[in-house]
Amino acid sequence: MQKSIYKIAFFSIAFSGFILLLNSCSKDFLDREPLSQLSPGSSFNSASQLQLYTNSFYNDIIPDAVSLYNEQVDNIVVTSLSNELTGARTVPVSGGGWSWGALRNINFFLQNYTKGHLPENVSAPYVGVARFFRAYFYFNMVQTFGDVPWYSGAIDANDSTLLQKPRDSRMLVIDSVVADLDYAIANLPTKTSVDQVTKWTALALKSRVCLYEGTWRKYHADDLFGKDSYGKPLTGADELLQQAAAAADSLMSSGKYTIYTSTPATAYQELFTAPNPIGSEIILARTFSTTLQVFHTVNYYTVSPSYGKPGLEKKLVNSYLMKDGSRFTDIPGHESMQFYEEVQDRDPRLSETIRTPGYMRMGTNVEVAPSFGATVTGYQLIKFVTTPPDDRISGNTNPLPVFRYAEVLLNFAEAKAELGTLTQEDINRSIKLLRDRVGMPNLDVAAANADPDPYLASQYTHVSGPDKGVILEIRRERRIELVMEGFRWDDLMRWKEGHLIALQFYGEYFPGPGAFDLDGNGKPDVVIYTDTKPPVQQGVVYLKLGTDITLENGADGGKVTINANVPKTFNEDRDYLYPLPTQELLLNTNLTQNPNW
Amino acid sequence: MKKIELRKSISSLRKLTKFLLIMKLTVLFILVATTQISAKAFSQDEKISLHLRDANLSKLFKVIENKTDFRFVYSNNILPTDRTISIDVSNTPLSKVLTTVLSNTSLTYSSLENNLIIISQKNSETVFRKITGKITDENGNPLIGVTVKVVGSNQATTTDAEGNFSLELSDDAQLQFSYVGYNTQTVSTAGKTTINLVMTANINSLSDVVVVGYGTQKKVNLTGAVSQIDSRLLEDRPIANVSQALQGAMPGLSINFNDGRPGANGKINIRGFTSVNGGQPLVLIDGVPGDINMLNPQDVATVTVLKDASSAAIYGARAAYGVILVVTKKGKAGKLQVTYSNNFSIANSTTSHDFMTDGYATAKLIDEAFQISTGNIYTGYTDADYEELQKRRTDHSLPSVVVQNRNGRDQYVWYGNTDWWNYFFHNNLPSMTHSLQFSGGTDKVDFLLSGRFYEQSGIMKFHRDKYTAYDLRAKVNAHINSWLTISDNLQFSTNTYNYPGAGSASDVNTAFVYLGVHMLPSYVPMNPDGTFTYRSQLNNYGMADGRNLQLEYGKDKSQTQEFNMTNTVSVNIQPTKELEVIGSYSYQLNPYSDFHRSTVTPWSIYPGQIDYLGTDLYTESASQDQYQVVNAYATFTKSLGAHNIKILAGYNQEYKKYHTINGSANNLLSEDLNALDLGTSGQKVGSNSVEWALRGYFGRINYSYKDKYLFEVNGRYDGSSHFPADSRFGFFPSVSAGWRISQEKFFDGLSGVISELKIRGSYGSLGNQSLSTNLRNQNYPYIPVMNTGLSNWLQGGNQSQYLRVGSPITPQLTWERTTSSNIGLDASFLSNRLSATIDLYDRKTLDMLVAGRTLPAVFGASSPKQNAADLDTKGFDLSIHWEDRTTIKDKPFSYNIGIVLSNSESHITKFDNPSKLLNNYYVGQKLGDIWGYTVDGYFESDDAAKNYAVNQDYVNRTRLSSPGDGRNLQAGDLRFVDLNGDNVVNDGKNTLSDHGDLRILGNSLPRFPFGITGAANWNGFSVSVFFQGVGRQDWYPGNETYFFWGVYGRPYYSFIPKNFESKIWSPENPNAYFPKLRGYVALNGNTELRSVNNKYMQNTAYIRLKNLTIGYDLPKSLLQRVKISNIKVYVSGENIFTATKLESKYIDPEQVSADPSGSRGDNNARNYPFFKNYSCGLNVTF
Repeated sequence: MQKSIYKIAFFSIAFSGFILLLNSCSKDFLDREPLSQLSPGSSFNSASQLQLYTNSFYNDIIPDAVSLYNEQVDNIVVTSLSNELTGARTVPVSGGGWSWGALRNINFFLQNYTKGHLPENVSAPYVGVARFFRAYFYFNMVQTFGDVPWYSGAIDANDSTLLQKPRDSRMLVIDSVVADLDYAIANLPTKTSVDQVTKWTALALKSRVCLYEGTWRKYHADDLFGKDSYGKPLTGADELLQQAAAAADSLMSSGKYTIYTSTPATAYQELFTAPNPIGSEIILARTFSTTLQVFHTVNYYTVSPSYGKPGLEKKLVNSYLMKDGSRFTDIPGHESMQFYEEVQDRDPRLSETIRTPGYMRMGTNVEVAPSFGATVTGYQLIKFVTTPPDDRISGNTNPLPVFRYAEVLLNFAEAKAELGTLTQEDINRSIKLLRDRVGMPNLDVAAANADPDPYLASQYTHVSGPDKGVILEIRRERRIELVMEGFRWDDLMRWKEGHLIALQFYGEYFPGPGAFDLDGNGKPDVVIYTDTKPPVQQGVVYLKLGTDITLENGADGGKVTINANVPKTFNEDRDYLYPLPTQELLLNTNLTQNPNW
Repeated sequence: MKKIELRKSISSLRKLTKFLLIMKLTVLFILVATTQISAKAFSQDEKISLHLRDANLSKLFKVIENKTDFRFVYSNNILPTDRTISIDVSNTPLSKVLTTVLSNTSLTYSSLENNLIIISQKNSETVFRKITGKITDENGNPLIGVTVKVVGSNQATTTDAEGNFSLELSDDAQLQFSYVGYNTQTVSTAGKTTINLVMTANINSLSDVVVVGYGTQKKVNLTGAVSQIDSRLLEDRPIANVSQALQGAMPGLSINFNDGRPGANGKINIRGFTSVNGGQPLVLIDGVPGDINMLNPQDVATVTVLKDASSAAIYGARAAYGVILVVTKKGKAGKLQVTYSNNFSIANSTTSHDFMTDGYATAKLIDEAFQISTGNIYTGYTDADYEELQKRRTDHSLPSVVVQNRNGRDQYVWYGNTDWWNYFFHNNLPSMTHSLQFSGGTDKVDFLLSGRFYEQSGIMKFHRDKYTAYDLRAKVNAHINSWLTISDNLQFSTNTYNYPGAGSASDVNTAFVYLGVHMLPSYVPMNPDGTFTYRSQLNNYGMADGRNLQLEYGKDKSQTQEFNMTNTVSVNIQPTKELEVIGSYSYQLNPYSDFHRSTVTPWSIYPGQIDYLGTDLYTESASQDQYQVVNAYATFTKSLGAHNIKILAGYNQEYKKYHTINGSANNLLSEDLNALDLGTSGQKVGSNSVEWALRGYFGRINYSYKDKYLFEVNGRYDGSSHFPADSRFGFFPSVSAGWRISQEKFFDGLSGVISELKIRGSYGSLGNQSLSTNLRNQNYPYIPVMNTGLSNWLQGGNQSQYLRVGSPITPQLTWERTTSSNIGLDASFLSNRLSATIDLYDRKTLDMLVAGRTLPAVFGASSPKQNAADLDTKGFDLSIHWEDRTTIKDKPFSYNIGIVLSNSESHITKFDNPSKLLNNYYVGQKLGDIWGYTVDGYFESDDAAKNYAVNQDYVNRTRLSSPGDGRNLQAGDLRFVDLNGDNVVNDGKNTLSDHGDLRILGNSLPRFPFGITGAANWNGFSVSVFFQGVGRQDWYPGNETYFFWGVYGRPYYSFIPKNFESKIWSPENPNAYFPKLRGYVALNGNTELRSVNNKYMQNTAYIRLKNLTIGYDLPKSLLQRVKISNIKVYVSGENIFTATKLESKYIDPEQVSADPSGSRGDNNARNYPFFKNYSCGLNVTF
C-alpha cells in the first residue's frame, strides 16, 4: 500500500513537472516569424535600404547582354530568320512581352517608401531611380504594344478594377513617362556613374523616349498607328521632338561627356573592347567580371560556326561612305565589287565593325580573313570582339553600353532635323564629333539637302521636305554609329520603314565558283565549288554552291543570298505593334487587341 | 567473470520475489565485480544489532538486508501475516536472531553461498534437484536469453551466453522453453537431470509483434496496412546506407536513386504519386524524425512501413504520405557479446563504356553530322589531317602530336586515338565496411554500443572521389525498479565526400555533362612538353568547356561533410500493470559543411606558350540544424474476459531551427590551401535562418472481442507554425476494423488448410504541413517577406545586393490533406507455411497547394498559391511468402521464398486548367502519361519525301535552317503520321480536345514494382537471393542523352557508342535504328527526334538480381575451442544481373527511371553510373 502511494506520488510529480516544462516554453510556440528576411513594413527605414531596393531595378529593366548585341533586324543577318523578319509572328497564348513583374517591384517601392518616414531630401534620389525605371519600363511597353494600362501602384490580387483596367492611350502613358523622367532629372545625383542611374542617364533616356515618340507620331500620322486604341489621333509630335532636343542639349551643355578619341583607325573599336567602360562617353553600361563569373558571349557569337553565323547585311555595308565623305553607292559598278575591293578607303568604322584586310585579332599579330565558317554574309563582326582566349561560351567581360553620348548627339541632330530647325552649328556640335573621331569629313547640311542620297532615299521612303537630305544622312550616321547596339528595330518602327526587313538579305559579291582571296594576302580564304570538293587546305572554307552557299545568279555569280527561298513579308497594317496574348484578352475583357492581329 | 548460480532454490517463490532477488543479485554482482571486495563466506556468527517493534517478518528481513550483506529468499505466502515481532538485540549472532524470530512459526532457514538465506516451511520434505541444459537453434548456435519457466509456478530463468541454463527443482515439473521467433516447447523433467533442446524457428509467426506508432501491436491484431522487415535484409551487403537496402523489400515502398554516386541517398516513396508538390513519407528512427541515410545499417532491428491512414494517423501532420519506423537493435542482458563484421567489395559499372576511340572515324562522323546542319565541318581538319589520322588507325608508332605551322604560327596538331572514358574514370571501385558491436548487461542495466566505418572510392581518376562514413550508437536502459526504466539512446554519424571539381556534391554529375562534349578521340590529353590540352585551335571550341583541365590539374576540389547527433532520453513508468507512461526528449544536431575550390588552370597549344583558363574561387558554407522533439504518452491496457481494450493518449511537440552561413573569396594566396583567409579579393558572406514548430495531441483506442473482432480509432489534433493562427490546427481522424474469420467456430473444419484468415478495412484522413518546395518562402508561407539577393547588374565591379518585393502570399493557406481508404486481407495456409497479404487502397490528395486562378499578367507576379487542386491514387500492395523446412541427410534444411508486388495509378481530380492545356495538369489526367507523335518509318526515296502530302515542318524545324538541300525532306528522314487528317503534323492547340497528332504513347511512372526474395539454409550454408524490378515504365530519352542519340544530338559529343555508325540510316542500311544523319535533331525543340514519338520510346522495365549472398557458418565444435561463438563468412553480389528492354547497353534502366512522383536523377543519363558489386565478408561473435 505504502509502495503504491509512493509510486503514484512519484509518477504524478514527474508527469506534472514534464507538463510544466512543456508549458513553460509553450507561449506562442507555434508563432514563428521569419528570422532572416525583412517584412515589407521594415524595408524602408533608411537610405541604405532604399538603395538596396533600387538596386533590384537594374537587372529587371535594362536589356540583357544578348539583346544588346544580337541585332537581328536588317543590320545583322544569321542563318535562320526570326518570325518578326518573315512576318510569321502569331498571337501568343501568354507572354510575348506582356510581362509586368518588373513594374510590380517598382510600384511597390513607390507605394511604400514613405512608410519609413524618411525626409524628402533623403528619399528623393531613390524615388528618382524608381521613376526612371518605371519610365524605362513603360517606354518598352509602349514600343511593343502601343496603348497599355498605366499603373502607379502595385495591384492587390483582389483589386478587380485595376486588374480589369482597359488600355490607356499612349499619349497618357508617354506623358506619365515624361513626368517620371522630369522628376528623375530633377532629383537624381549629378555625379556621373557608368553603373548607376544619374541625372544624365535620365536626360539621355528622355531624349530617346521623346525622339521615339515624336517621330512615331510624325511618321505614322496618316496610318492606323497614328491613333490610339480609342481612335484618337496622336498629337504633340513637335513638342516631343523639342523635348528630345532640349534634353539632349541639356546633357551636351553640361560638359560632363565627350566623344572618346584616340587614333581614327582604332578609337571607335576601342570604345567597345576596353576592359572597363570609358566613362567620358559611356553614360551607363552593363559590366561584367571574371571574378564574379558574370560574362557575355559576343566573341563566341561572332567566331563560331554553330551560333547562327552572324554577318553584317550588304545594304548596310554599302551605306558606309568613302573615306573622303563621298558615297560608295555612287561608284559605278559598286554592285559587282568583290570584298577586297569594296572595303578599301571606306569610313574607318567599317574596318572597326567587321573584318577587313589586315585585320588582326586583339592580342595577336596574325592577320586573319573573314571566315565564311562563322559568318553567313562574309562581313564578319568584330565590334565588341576581344582576344581569342575569350572566345568560349561565356568568355567576354568587356562592358556593353546601354546609353552613350554618341546616341544623345544623334538624337539631338535627328530631333532638330525632324523639327526643321537643324543648323550647321547643330551638326558641328553633334555629328561632327562622331566624324572627327574616325577622321571623316564633317556633314554639310546644305550639301546634303541639296543632293539627297538616292540610295538611302530609295530605302527610307517616307522622308520628305527641305531637310530630306540631311535626315537621310543622320539616319545613315545613326545606323553606322550604333550598329550592334540594339536600336535598329525601334528606329525602323518609328520611321515607318518596316518594309525594309522584308527585303532579301545579301552578303558579299562573288562572280561565280572559284577560289577567293578575301584579305589580299595571296592565299585563298574561301572556295566555292560546284561538283566535287577540291582537296582541303588549312584555313580555307569550302562551300558547295547551292548547298552551303547561294549566289544571286547561281553559277553566274552575284551576291550571297541568305535564306533565299524563305518568303518574307511585313504587314504595314499590323506589324508595327506586337499582339497582346490571347489569354490576357480572355482574363481581362476590357483589353483590346492591336490592329489586325 | 564470476558466474552466479543459485545452488538451491525453492519452488514456491513468487515471481516478484524472484525478480527482486535476481535484481539484488545483479547489484551485488556488480559491486563484487567492480569493487574487488570478495564475498564473505556465510557466517551465521556475524553479529547484528536490531531494534524493532511490532514488525512483521518481511520487514525484519528487509532491515537485516539493509544492515548486512545477507539476502533472504522466501515466498511471501509462507510468511504468517498475523505475527508481529518485537526485538531488541545488540551484537547478537545472526543465527541466534533467526532462530529466535522463527520460533513458534512453521518456518526454518537454511543458508546458501553468497550470503543467501532461504526461508522455508519447517516440515517440508523438499528435495532439491538440479536440472541443467543447453538450448540451441537448428544450426547448433546457442540461443541466448531463452526463457525457461517451470509450468505452474513463477520460477523461471533464462539461458546464458552459451545457451546454458540451470534450475533447482523440488520435484518433477514441466519446463516451458520460449523465445521470440521460435516455437515454444514444453518438456517434462521426470527422470532427467539434463535437458538439451533444439528450438525450431517459428514459421511466419503470427505471434510476431509489429512496431506501430507509439507502441507495438501483435501482427494478428493489426487492422491497418503495415509491412515490416527485420535486419536480415541489411546484413552481409556492401551498402552505404539503409535506403540502399530497402529497395524492393516491401510492397508499396519505392526507393529511387538519382545516380550511382558513392553514398548516394535514395528517394523514398510510399504508394505512388503523392502530390503535385511532391511529398515524402515521415521517417522516424526510434521514434524521432530522422534521416534514414544517416543511420548505420547494422544497427537496424526492424523497418516498418505504415501505409494507410489508420496506421499513420497517429502522426497526423506529416504522415500524409506514409510513415517509416526504424527501430534500432537493443542491448541484450547477459554476458558481454562482441560482434565484429566486415565487408570488402569491388564495384564496376552496370553499363558498357565501350565508345568510339578511333580518331579518324569519329572525326569523320562528327564532321559529317555537323556539316549537314551548319554547312561547315566541326573539327577544322584538312584532308591532309585526315590522311594523318587514317595512318594512325593502323600505325601506332606515329606520334599523336606534331608541331605544324597553322595560320602563320607553330602549334600542336593532334592525331590521337584517345579513350577518354578510361582516361578520366576508374573501372573498379573498392569499398569496405567494418562494424563492431558490444552488447550485454544485467537485468538492471543493459547496453549496446555499436560502431561502423564505411569507405567507398569513386570513379574519378583525378583526385579520386571518396566517401567515408562513421557511425556510433550507444544505448543504455536502466531498469531502476519494477516500474521505472530510464533509457538513453545516442546516435552519432558523420560522412564525408571528397571529390574533384568545384560544384556541389550532386554536381559530380556535371563532370559527365562537361566531359561529354568536345572531347574527340583524335585529341590528346597532353602535349609532348607535358602541358595539358584545351583547344585544338583548328576550331574555336574548348574541350569539355575546360572541365578536363580542372580535373587534370587537380586543384579544383570539393568536400561535403554531414554530421548527425541525436540523443534521446526517455523515461518509462509503469505505475500499475495496466498503465505505461513514456516520456522522451530528443535533441538532434545536424551540422553540415562544404567547401568548393576552383583554380586557374594552365594549358597550351602553341609550343612554349602557356595560357590560362578559369577563376580562382573558394566558397565555404556551414550550417546547423537543431531539432527538438518531445513525446509524452500513456498506454492503458485492460482485459475483461473476452474484451480487450487498449487506450493511448499523448502529446508531441517539435521545433526545428536551421541556420547557415556561407562565404567566398577570390584569388587565394595558395592553390593548395583552402581557406577564406587566404582570399585576396571578392570576399562575400551570407547567412540565413529559419525555424518552424509543430504541436500535436493524439490518441488511439484499440478494442477487440475474443481476438476475433478488432476495432481501432485514431485521432490527432495537430498545429503547425507553417499556417496562420486561424487555420493552424487540423484534426485528423481514422477508423479501422478487422475480422479474424479463422477464429470463428464455423471455420474449424478449414483450419487445417487455412490457418489464418483476416479481413480488415480502414478509412482516415491525414495532413501535410511541409508545403511545396516550390514555395519561395516555404517556412513562412503566409507571412509576406521581402526577397534579397545579389544582382548580376554589377556596380563598382561588384554584384549589388538588392532587396525586392516578395512573392504575393495567400493569408488563408492551410493543410494539404489526404484521405485514404484501405481494404486488406491476411491469410496463411498449410500451418502458416504459406502466407499472403493483399491491400487495396484509394488515397485522395486534397487541397494541394497550387497557383491560384490565373490573374491577368498586369498583376506582375504569379498568382498566390491556394489550396486548390486534388488528385486520387488507387493501387494495391501484395506480398506472398512461403517458408518450410525439412531435413536433408539428417541435417535441417530450411528455405523460404517471397514475392512483393504493388501498383498504383493517379489521376488529377481537380485543377484549375479549364481549357485542359496539355502542358499543365488537367482534370482527368493520368499522371505520367507521355504524349507523342507517331512515326511509321523512313521515307524510301527523295521523291517519296518530296511528295508526302503532309506538312511535318512543325516537328522538324531544325531541318529548315540547314543550308542547301539539307532543308528538304529526303530519303531516310522520319515520316510522321498525320493522325487527325489535317495534312499537318502538329500539336493543335495542345489541349485535350485539340491535341493535333499527339497521342498517349506510354507512361513515365513506375508500374508494378516488385521484389522477389529467396533463402535457404543447410548445415551451416546459407544462400539468399533478392531480385528487384519494375514491371512497366516508359522513358523518352532526353535531348542530351549522348549515350543514346550520339551525333544526332550535339554532333561533338565525346562518348559515342561503339558501332554507332551501323545504326545510321543510309541507302545501304535502310533498316537502321536511326534516320538519315542530321546533327542537332535530338537536341533542339521541334525536331524529329526531340519530338516525342513512338519509334524511340524506351521500355525501361527491368528485373535485376539486387543481391546474392552465399554464406557459411563455421561449425560450433570448431569454434568452441577458440572461445568464439559464431563465425560466418560470405560472398555477396549486388546488381550482378539485369534484364531490360532498354535499347542501349550504355544506360542503366535505374539511371533514367522516374520515381513515383515523376522526378528523375537525370533524364539524359549523364550522371554517375550505377554499379554492380562483388563483395566478401566476415561476421564474428565472441
